[in-house]
Amino acid sequence: MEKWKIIILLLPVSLASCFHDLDETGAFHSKYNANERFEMSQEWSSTHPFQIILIPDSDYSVLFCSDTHIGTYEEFNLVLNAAKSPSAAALVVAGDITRGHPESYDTLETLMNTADSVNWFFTPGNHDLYFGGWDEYFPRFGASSYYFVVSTPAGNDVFIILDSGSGTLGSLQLDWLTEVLESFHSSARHITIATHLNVFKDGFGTTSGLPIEEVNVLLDLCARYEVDYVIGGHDHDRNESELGPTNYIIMDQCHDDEDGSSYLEINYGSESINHDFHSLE
Amino acid sequence: MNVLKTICLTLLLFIASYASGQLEIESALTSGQNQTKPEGFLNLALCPSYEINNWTLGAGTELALLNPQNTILDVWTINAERKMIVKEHEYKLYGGFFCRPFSEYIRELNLVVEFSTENNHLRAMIGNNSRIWRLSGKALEQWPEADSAGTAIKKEWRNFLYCFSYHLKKTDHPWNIGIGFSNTNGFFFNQETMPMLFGRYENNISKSMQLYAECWLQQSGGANLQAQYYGFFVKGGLVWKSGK
Repeated sequence: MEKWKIIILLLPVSLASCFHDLDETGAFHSKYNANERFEMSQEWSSTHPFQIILIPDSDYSVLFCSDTHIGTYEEFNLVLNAAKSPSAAALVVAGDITRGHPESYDTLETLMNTADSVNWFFTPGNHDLYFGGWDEYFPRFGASSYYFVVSTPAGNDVFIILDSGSGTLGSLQLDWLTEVLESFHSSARHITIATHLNVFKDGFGTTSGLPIEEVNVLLDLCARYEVDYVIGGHDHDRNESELGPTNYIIMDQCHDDEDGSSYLEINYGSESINHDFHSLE
Repeated sequence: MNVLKTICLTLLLFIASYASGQLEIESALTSGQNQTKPEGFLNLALCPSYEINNWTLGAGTELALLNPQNTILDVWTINAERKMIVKEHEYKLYGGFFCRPFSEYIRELNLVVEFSTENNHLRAMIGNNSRIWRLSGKALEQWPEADSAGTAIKKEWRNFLYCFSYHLKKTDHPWNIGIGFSNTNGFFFNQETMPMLFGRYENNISKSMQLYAECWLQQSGGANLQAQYYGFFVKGGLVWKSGK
């Protein structure tokens, strides 16, 4: 019996030492919760107004990827190069960009400094918040909840970026999302929402999505304001669903250590809106 | 649909008053706060059921008295349960249908199957929730092409359900207190990765009446190793059983 007690005690210690990328304390407590990160984001946005990207054409594309888990960044580099194409108005990276360690953030910041021509937009995932990662993310990249507008001769398209890194959008962010959708839905040509967590799930899973009450609020808002796309990652497993006017997409990962990586390209046009996945294999 | 629900409930009560089984009525008040309702909520549940020959047929509704998401009718259900004795031990197999009209545009439907048992101090339930989101009639009027395009419905067939609790006294004791974890409170069903912690006190104040009180803590993101407080609720209920 004593032997078993020792084994049980040693097991978590061994697991903790084997998995350099796990932040076990995070399972019980986040240093900054969703509402606190949102308030900091709002404060940051008050001195950094939302970005407007002017496009001379009515048709353009925006690239999306997630779960790059830098460390290494061969596949993310391929996406960055694709985002340098003149037809790509922006690149959105929907969380789990790093592994939360300061050195991962150093690598990411250095990489982004070489991508001057790309309009890139980030939001953190759970991995970015590990090990107190928000203290690294916020000073370098600023707000995690914000929107930007792509302005074309045929109309304006709105992109809303949400922070779901600690498993919930939080009450303040949900209120803000409602206000943003309310103010844009009659004037915007297309509306796209990107966040880290997937809205739907496919089968039994070990990764958490949003709590069901929040999923239902989000589904209601997307139907009410006719959101075109809700893009997420997190699951590392592509899934495409449609409910009413909205496409819900879970992207593949974009991570060197896993097979089946891809990025998503959404083509926005005055006649239609559609999407393609591009394999990185 | 409302007429159908009223007829079903009336029929159930009518049969119950004439048949020789046992009628049970559970009512509960639930109050709490979460990230979608930071200003709080108050729900009232009423669940009549009728037990005869190891079968229990039930119905129920939960009304959102404070801060409803869409309508005051938060959720309604019909369900059936079968008791089984295997090697002198009792097991229960439960099937339920739940409808939550949480939006003008979308309904959440749940097809729930649960298998439960009790043993001295332990109570355990495992099951599956097939969750279906369906566009409402209003939404189908707005997007008539949704039906033919297959975008009127979204199904999640597999959501693992569980509830495990440990109680201080044995199950036949007049009062009991216990703690446990579950991803369902009987009216809403979270993903398997979102366990809620709960404590429960129950007291059989007479042969036909039980009072209970529960306290639930909700977290988000635990399975992502990046968790935070999400919400809490307290629930107080009364279960009344007619004499056989």
